[in-house]
Amino acid sequence: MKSFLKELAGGIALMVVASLVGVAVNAVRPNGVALIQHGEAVSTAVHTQADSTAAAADSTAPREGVVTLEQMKQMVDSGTIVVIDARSTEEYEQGHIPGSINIPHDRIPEFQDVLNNEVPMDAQIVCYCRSFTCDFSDLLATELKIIGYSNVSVFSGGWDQWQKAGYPAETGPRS
Amino acid sequence: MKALLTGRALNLVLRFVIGGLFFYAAFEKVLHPSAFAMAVRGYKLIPFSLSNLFAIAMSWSEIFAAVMLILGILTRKAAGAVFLLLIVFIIAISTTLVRGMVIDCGCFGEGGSNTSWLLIVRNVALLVGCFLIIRYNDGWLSLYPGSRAQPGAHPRPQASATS
Repeated sequence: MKSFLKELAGGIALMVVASLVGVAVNAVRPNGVALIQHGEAVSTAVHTQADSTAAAADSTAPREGVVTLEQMKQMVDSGTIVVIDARSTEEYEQGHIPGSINIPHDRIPEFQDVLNNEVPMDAQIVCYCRSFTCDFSDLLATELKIIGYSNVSVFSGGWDQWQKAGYPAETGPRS
Repeated sequence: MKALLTGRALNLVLRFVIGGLFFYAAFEKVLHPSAFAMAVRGYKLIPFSLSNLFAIAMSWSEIFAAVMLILGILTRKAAGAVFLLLIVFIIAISTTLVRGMVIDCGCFGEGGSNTSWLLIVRNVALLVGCFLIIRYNDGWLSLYPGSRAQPGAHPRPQASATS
């Protein structure tokens, strides 16, 4: 047991050395990241059924950074916003809000061209995913803010709420 | 069975399998630090401001430990580092599942599988593998093994009755 703990302590020392090398390399490499990340995480998702039901019932009340179903419908109809679907491409193709762009939350670098070409930095962006309990739109909104998009909010009811309301939908890849 | 678990052959296989897996996983993370930092932020476990630093520390620790395991450099300490990394992964994934979150696990950089109990099972299996390396590695086929398993931890084959 003593020998085992000694090796774990050695493992910690190894990790410290490796981390220092990593920080040094990060400082000189062209795609290095800031050691201290500024900003804050977008957090609108709820994770229990009770909270989800409460959020759905309360979805007309305005909240900072959160778009309600009615607001979403108005904004989609007016065409004044860029709507981004944070779900997987498979889910997007099964059905999505008309005119929305698909950028899966975990594949943002792959979709950099889409962002560059179709989403101006000053655009009013609304992200959505599956439902109130889904984290993907929060994660995407957080990363978009880090990239430099200033006007980003989340339609927290997501595809489930949009679909249940009987609002228009599109299927298949984006035309 | 015990001879198999404590034997050199299994120890070598474990070094290559765990080392290879961690090298493969870490390579993408080291190459694209911002993508891995994104996955780290998804867990909502550590302060947002420290997510990049944490991502760098984890990915470089993984790649160092992986290379050292494969080449046999301070082998047991490298296995100790992987053991600790796996504990961190298991805790992180478990907490997301308990909180009802489903996110990209970030296991192999960006766009990997989502967090699930299956990942916990896989990591526990790797944890057992690391334990066996730490407990029984005797420095066989290693560049610079450092400490070795104590005599007796690695049983020698029984002498035959005719010798």
